[in-house]
Amino acid sequence: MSKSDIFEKLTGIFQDVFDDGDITISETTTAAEIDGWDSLTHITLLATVEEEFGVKFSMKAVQHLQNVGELAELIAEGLQ
Amino acid sequence: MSIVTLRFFIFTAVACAEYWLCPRRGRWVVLLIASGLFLVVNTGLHPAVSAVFVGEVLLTWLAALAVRRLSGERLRTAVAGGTVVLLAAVLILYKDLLFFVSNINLAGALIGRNPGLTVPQWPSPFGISYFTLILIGYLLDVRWGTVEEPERNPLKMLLFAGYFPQMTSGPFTRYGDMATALFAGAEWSWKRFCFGCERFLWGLFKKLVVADRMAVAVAALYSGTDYTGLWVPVAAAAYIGQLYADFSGCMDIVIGISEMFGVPLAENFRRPFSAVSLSELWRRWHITLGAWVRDYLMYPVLKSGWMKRGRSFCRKRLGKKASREIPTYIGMFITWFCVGFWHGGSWKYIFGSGLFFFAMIAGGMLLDPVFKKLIALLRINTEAWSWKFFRQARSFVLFAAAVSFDRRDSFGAGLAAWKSALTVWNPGALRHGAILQLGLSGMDLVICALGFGAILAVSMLQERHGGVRELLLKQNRVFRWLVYLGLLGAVLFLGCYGPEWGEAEFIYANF
Repeated sequence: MSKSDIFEKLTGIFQDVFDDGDITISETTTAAEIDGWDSLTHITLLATVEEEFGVKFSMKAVQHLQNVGELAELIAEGLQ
Repeated sequence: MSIVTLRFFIFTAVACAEYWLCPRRGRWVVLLIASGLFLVVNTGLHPAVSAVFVGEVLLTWLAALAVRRLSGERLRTAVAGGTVVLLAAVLILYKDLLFFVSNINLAGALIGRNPGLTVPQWPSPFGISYFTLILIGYLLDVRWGTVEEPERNPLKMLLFAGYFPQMTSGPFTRYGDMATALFAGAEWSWKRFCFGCERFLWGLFKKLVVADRMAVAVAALYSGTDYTGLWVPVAAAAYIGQLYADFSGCMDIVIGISEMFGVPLAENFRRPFSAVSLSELWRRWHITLGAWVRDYLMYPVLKSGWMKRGRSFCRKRLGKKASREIPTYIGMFITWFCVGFWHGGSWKYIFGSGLFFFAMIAGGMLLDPVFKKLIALLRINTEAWSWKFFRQARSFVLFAAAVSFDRRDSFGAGLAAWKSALTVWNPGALRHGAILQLGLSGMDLVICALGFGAILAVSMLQERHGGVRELLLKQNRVFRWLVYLGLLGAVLFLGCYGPEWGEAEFIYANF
């Protein structure tokens, strides 16, 4: 799966989880920029991403994700 | 030995002098000896109780090394999981056994067969609520790879878990944040040392001048059944004021002391009463507990296999949205129950510091679409400062009301008090002069008011300028010294200490 495919699918997941069809994401998007992205929605988001992409994140990754770019990299690694 | 006694100040000064005189490589040994002495002094004549601490640390140390060296994921998980369960069981055995026994007795009484179980009285290991969670966090960090190399030296492990400033009321430290500063020895910095002293003094001001004075009125307000009706919210406000000055003052003292040794500790408060929601308030109040619970309890629960199966079950039966929300609520319930339970094995803590917040936050999430529609219908300007102030006030009131249960004798007493607040109308109780019957003089009340004013002013300066000590450092020397001496004078002349006050304890030291 290419990076743009990952971002396209991720955008849909973000819109779904945060219940906002207008959300757009980029590599540098952080939790502070998305309304409602707190520790609870963070884990819900990651669980949804795991299911949708069929990957599994380590607890270390869950705790230390800094932005959407890192999330996309983790997905790409998981898919390989 | 309370950390607000002359004995402790001398102990800290001697430890600090030895620490900085010692060659850099050996400084951690000074901290280890100081921490060991602090533990023994606080454990009194119960060496077996100190042995619990040492035993738990060594067990965790061995388990972490085993987790790193063993091959096979299942075996690693079994060692880490088994040790975590054992550590938690010891904590519950010492702190919460009475809760289980009294609930078994109560359940038995309800069906007419009270087993009459009793609990043996044994002293609780000093700081067990804190070092147990620190050890569990360390072991899970090793298991998950957050800590890549577990500590090889058992003495260093003893220092990490038992570092004396964190033993009274936290904060919950993490190995990754502490190891270098604790074991490598910091470079001497006059500025950092002075900053530590300033923070220590500010903590003493909050504790001795404000919190311990407020404690007199709070004790009166929560004794007996005289203070009903309108007194109940007054008591809740007084207790939250005392608790904040007490706990944040304790944190200022221990973080300040640690700075004197060049070891930064994690912050536990970030202006909690500026929060506009309860969930935000909890991200600003007792921050390291919230972060611990999030990383080591909520995330593993929500990422667990059974939660995953629950999600797919919900998706098939109830749809996509429910499959996301139901596990979230289950995870929140478990998390808040444990937060309340950590504060003490009693329903008053489980409700007042736990499930009440679950109900409010989960209720807020469920009703969010309704609130949004109401806001639109009533054309509320959500950008106006008055709306922000309303949300801050609402969060403060709900928080104070819930936490007031912790101060009551029982959950039932808390419910009875709030029932009277809603049913007893006694405005005459708050007549002029009634407040002077709480054990505080008019001058004491003025000192408390000025003390809270100073705390508020410092909070506002922090919000606007960041570090207040940095800000003070930029001022003229005369002004700076006026502030330092004013603070020292306030602690010396207005502080509640001496024979008539007894040895000051911290509220969170009892959790």
